[in-house]
Amino acid sequence: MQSEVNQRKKRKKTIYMGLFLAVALLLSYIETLIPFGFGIPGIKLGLTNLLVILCLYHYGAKEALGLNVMRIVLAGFLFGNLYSILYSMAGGLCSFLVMWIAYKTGFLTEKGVSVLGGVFHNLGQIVVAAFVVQTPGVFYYVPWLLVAGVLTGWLLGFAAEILSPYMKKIDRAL
Amino acid sequence: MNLKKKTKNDFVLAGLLLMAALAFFLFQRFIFKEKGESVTITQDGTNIGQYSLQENKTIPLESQNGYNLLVIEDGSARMVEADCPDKLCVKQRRISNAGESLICLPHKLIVTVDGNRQSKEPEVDSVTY
Repeated sequence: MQSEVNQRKKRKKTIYMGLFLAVALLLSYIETLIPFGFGIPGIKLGLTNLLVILCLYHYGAKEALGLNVMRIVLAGFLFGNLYSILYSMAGGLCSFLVMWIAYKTGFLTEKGVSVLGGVFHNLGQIVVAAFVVQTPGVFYYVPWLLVAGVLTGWLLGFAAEILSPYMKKIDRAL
Repeated sequence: MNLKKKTKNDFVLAGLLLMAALAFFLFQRFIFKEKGESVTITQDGTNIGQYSLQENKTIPLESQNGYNLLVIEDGSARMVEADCPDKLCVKQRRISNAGESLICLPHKLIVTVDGNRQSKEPEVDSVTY
């Protein structure tokens, strides 16, 4: 009886992780349609981070990391190239690590965690870019990257807070 | 920790980050502001050319990585064409101040405005940007 319940839970999780990945890919595509960046390299809206945060809070770090990595690789092959995968991966892993630590310490709400994620995503990308092109000149845009990270992070964190109760509802259902 | 305290922490964090950005920006704009004299083009980390910003010029940049077209006009430079898929360098603003750069990541191409300070001691000073 107990194992049946567990199996059902597991199956449900598999289904929802698939849905999360599908929505993340959709958001990656939508993001390419929205002009946001003000002509500054490295700035992104980071819509998919919303799903990573929801996943982190509701399913756990392992699941969120898996979602993040799969999303980056798939979106890279669909809408980008090998280089964009490299940059996204650097940004994604850097931001994930920081968000995970911030989430574990419990000093911040979703908004704060998301702000850190946004800022470190941009910083991670620019560090890799500096290595790839062998020019420290890319750091010129760091202030813009910080501001953009705070703004987008705050908004996405806010969205995650609004969506949280619905996630709990989904968990109870089925 | 209760929600109120956490929310306060959120605001403190966001405020600190914005202040850091502002400090960085002011430092860059007002203490280190310097009109550039020329641009240096690097590809794969190697210098492939230096052009004065004083004379208008169109510079095609063809390599095995791809094609870009750089235009120097009225003391500033901008990328007008690129055959990469995202065209981020073309969407970038024109550059004229020392330290600013146009970056085309897929082609590993960078156009940086040189300043006196940088051309004299490039390694040390450019790192502070």
